[in-house]
Amino acid sequence: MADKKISKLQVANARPEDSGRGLARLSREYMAGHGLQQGDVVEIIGKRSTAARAVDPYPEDEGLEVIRLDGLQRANAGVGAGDHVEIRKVNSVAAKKVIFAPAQPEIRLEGPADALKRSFIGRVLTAGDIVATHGQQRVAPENMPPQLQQMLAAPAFALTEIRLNVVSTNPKGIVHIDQSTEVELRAEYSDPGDGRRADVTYDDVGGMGDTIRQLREMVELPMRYPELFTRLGVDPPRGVLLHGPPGTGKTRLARAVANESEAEFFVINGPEIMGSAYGESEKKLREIFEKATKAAPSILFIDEIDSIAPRATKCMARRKSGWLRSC
Amino acid sequence: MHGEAEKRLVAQLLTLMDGLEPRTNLVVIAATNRPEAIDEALRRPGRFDREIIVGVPDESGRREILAIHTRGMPLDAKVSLRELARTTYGFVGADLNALTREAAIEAVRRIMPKLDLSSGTIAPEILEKLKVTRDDFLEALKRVQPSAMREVMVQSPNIRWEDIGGLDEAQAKLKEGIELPLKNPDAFRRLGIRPAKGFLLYGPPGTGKTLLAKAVARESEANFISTKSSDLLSKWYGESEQIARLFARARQVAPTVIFIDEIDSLAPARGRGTSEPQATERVVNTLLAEMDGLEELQSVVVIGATNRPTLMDPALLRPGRFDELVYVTVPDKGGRRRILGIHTSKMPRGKDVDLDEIAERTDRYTGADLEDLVRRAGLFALREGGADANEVRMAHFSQALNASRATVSPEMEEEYRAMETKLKQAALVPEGMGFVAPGMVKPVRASKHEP
Repeated sequence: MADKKISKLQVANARPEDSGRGLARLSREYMAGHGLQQGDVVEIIGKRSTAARAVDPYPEDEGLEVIRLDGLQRANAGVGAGDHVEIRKVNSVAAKKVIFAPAQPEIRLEGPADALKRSFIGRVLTAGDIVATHGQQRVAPENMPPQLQQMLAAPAFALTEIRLNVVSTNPKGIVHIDQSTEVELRAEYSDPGDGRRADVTYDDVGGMGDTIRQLREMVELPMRYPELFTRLGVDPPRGVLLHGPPGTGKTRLARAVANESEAEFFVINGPEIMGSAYGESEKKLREIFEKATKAAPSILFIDEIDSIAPRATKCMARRKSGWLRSC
Repeated sequence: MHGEAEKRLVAQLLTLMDGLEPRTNLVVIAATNRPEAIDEALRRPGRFDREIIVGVPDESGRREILAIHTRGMPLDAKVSLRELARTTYGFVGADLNALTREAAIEAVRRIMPKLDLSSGTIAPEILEKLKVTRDDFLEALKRVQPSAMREVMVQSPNIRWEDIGGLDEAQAKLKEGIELPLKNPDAFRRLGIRPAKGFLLYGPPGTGKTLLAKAVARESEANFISTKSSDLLSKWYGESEQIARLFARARQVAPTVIFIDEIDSLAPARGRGTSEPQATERVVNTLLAEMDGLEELQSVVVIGATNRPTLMDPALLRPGRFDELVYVTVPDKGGRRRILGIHTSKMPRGKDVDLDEIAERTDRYTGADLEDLVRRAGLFALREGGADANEVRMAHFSQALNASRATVSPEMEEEYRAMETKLKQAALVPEGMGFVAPGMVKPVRASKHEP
């Protein structure tokens, strides 16, 4: 595969510890073939385009034509795992000014922009990107060039991860932040536009690799490649029931799937939909289904379905008497 | 509360799902924590026909989750996510999220006094120094309880094999019977054999049965649910549900070691008592059903402990239930020496103290007896030297030796030794059925189904 023309790479998920670092992991072979050094800036072009710093691959990826991106980068490039993206080497310029704003509507931020600059030093950005502040990386960045190490060892901005939207940069295009950059932090949320969402990605659900794989097969695959199912003549699954103890991340998982498959996400809260007036709750349900069908591809999430669809009454009455425990 | 409104709503939901055009790119995902409580009609093909279980995360899962929640957090170098993941047994994602938040709040609390609240802003150099430390996490751990385990306490004991003196035989048996299968379930699957489901530890009181159970849970990196029979028994009807719930929880947080202390009072032989026959019989039945019932116990091991194994229902000792009987005996001389070493490790001993000699003179002492002996010796030292006593000498130990004695008599030891074969035999003796006790008049009909 020494053909230099190949500049399309398949996207794979980055490891959780790489999440939010602004890195793109490429195979050494590919980097050598395209004149890339560790730390060079690459433009990643999917449906949209974003930028990252190229670094060495994970050992298991050596020689594969994949690029590892984290959840936010995938959202920024408008791609999902398994899609192909174009890679181009670019030279970024130091930004004169970058404006950030919170990417979550419910957050109001007031903080020193200088601290933000320190925490983002060396990062490459384009306007419209969603980026996350990160804590100090204590994973030793083995054999990376010093400028990259410095970028990864930057001090944390806050006590938790905050997702920010790059409102604008001056000059436009791909820039990086250095000491001379003027950083402005807006307090109010601003809509990133483009349908990008700073929502939950697969990187944000931990400890359920298998579950994610299952759910991706059932939901994301049919959403992204409906033609696959049409050709096979089978209907993709219509409903998936997630069950498990409270607090294990069922809602989070559903959000992540919706976000990563770029589907519209509708939520029905079981207890909330129960209206008082006759027929009201059914009407609400119908309306949401209609909306979701119109907005397809979409995912409709019914939380706590047991509250709207409990078992038949017979058992309940008996249960009180304590006889039919298995009910 | 379950009325017409719900029925109509279910019907509407079913209609809507069935009415979707086949090629509509719409997926309905529903979530519940009570899958048994929803209408079966919803789970038919074409509706919610796919099910995914979202379980309680295991140790590596917890580590991943912690990494996610601490991603944007300035962590002190001493914070070890691996250690945190190991100690947070039974925590689910939401609990871990709460834990990291509490730790962050703890860190903020620490710098509060340094803040000049009137100025409205925080000086950058304070922010720079703000880090979440290991102590913050430990403090937070005291406040955040795992929600999955609210009803049944799950612990992560911190007793290791080396904290147990003697009992080598019992240790070896537990190691191969529990630690091995819990750590390498694949090896057993490959060989096509089933690991033992239950272990019954029996022996004189004070010989360290509880300690052994804790150590095996710790060393096999399993969760540890400890119950006493008094926790599981109540005068209310339906108490056996407690056991079912206990096992359900254990399966959720598997690998788990369930430890039932004083199991003889929980599961006495059935059909013997006359006054209150049903109460404990149901408990025994539930226990039997859970242990070898239809629901496969995967990576759940039950350890029962008793010092009166003969009083237990023999049915519990049959294969597939408490497969292995482990006799926890009084320690031999070498074992006693090790136990003494463990108990006196934090004690300033005088040079003349000869633990070997003490071990020699404490025949048939159990671990608890030896601990008591050491404590007494310390007390004698205190009595002699007053508040500024700083070492415990051999004389104190001699005094303590005179004041204490072994709880286990030679006859007792002999009896326990003879018990092992008797117990196994008792399990195979057929039980008298129902009310037809020996000597009772024979019923007219051989079976109640015959005319």
